[in-house]
Amino acid sequence: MPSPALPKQIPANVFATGHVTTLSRAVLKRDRSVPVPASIGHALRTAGLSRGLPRGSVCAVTGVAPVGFAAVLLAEANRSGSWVAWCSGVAPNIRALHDAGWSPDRLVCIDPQREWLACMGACVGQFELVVTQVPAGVPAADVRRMTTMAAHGNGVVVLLVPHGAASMPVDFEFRVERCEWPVSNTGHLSAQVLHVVLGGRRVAEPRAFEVAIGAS
Amino acid sequence: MNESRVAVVVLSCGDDRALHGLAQALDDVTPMIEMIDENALLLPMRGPTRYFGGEDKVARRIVDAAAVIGIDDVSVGVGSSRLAARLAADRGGVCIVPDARHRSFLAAQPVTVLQSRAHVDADVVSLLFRLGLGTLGAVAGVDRTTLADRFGPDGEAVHVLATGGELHPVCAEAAPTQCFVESHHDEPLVDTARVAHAAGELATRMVCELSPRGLVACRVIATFTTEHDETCSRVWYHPHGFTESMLGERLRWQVEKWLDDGLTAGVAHASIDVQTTQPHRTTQLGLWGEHGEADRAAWAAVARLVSLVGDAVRVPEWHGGRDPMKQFALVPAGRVDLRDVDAARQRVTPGEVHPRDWTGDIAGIVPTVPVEPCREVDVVDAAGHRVVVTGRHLFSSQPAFIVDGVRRHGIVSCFGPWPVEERWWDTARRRRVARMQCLVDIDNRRTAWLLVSEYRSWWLVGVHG
Repeated sequence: MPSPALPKQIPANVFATGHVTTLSRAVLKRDRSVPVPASIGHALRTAGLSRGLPRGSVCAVTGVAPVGFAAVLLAEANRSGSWVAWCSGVAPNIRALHDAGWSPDRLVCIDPQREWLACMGACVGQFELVVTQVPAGVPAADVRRMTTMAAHGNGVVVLLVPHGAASMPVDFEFRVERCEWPVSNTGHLSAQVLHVVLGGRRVAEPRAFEVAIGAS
Repeated sequence: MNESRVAVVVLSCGDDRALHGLAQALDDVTPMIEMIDENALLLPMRGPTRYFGGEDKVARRIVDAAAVIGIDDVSVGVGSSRLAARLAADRGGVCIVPDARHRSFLAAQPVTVLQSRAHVDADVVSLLFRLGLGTLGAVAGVDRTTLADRFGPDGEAVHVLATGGELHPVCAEAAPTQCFVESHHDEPLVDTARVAHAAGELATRMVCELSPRGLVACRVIATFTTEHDETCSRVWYHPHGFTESMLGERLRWQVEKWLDDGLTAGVAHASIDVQTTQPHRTTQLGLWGEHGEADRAAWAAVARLVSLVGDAVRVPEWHGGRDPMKQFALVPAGRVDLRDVDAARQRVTPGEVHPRDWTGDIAGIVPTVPVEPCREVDVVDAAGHRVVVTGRHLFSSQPAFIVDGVRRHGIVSCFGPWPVEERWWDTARRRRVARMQCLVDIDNRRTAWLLVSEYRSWWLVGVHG
């Protein structure tokens, strides 16, 4: 197709002239996934996936210590520049996140009150990482709408599922089966070792792995 | 008469509903009332002084107007600059600083008021103090160029304030507009959340229009009009300029209080008229740009969230102290400038003396989920007797169970007690507690809790959830 004749002066809105077109955002292949710590990355790799969480995926963290595992899962991505929206009635202890390697200046905590779906609508697609706990009483249809939004977005949504609560089908499910608690010689709990099973729709066969919080 | 005479009205109660009511009541005294703080507003005095016959009469009228709507704890300060009037108001009651004593009044003030009352950067104020410039008089005595050379634009601003000047002149009438954004709603908005959302979008549009020009709005007039021509117009001011989330939060407050009054129709028109701008230093990009697409998307999302749920959107801020559950606090996102990357990093950076080597600190991992408010529990031994921490910082007997309401959890193992004495130098806020970590068996799963003993009671403060 012949290109239109070049104007002598560059107009203010150069994109409207037809000479210049906006391109969709170039994303490198390695950027199509959100980085995770090596131990989790290895588990994803052995499950036939890339060494990170694919963007547009929904993860659920279930079991005995969902917040602790989420803190480890997202630390690498947050440290490397991703913003995190923590959309839950209970905010995490920021000191614990800081100790896990987070940059708290890229963390926003939202107490959604009765506006959970609206808050998630504002977060998904804008924040690279969204952590949420679905409040009691939210209809399943609203949760499905949210996961559909997440699938079309450019980030990762992490659902925190309290122990004993029913989970929903998601791309990745990290189930924290049990914890171990090494004790330091000063008599403090020096670490928390989480025994996790990776499952979900995009994982053909469940994989078990361990993650440690704090010094080993 | 000095054209820059202003009155600052401060509410001690901090009730935002009362502030809205007072602003409405004072609309009869003078137009163009500026909302300058969460509990303070500013009135230009030139017109009212002439009309009512003196500053003391205007001040008395303000106090009377407050009393009519049931507000007794109001203080009024009158001065020749925003800072002087604010400092006069801090003295309580009615305090008028005559124009002739304006400079001497300011000169006697400590330099720390620049931080607390004029939003000057804490580092600048701290450095001024350490340089021996302990009062505004001492700062005013330094040559303006010298301060500008040493501190840049901050130094220049400090000099202006210390000598009794204004960073942005107070206007008694609307100035020529610098930027105007508006939205028409064919279907009038009735729901508060939708109006607040529309206001947040307006704030974002305003910032997007000013940003490419390297400007930030310091003073705006936000106006909302219903289908029946009911209007709510407020002037908002911030010396460093508004980000979208800061302005969005204020507009949300404005429409919430206004709609609470009960309107006869929905909001059909909203506008922001930018009156005063200044160059925005923090959005000046470097050669390769300091801000990425992810940052900009996050800022926009925060602005939208603030318009949805207001103060429930919070960001971390380092507070320090020996309590691992309170070393970081969460502050409303609408009150901080997220775009200022340096300030954001500084906000969450632990102090130089990170409390890791203190004996009272938790040396290992800290709980991930705070229990707020902390819950009182009972710690008992195998025989059912209450366990307390003795004066020698030992358990009175071996803890065996935790009784949490009607539930009783077995303690697998416990660690501590570790005594902590906080603020021993402050008789009012001193605190002696002992901490204990314990592994608890709950429904056949093991988890760790952090408990605190204070005044012979045990409190659950955190869970490794």
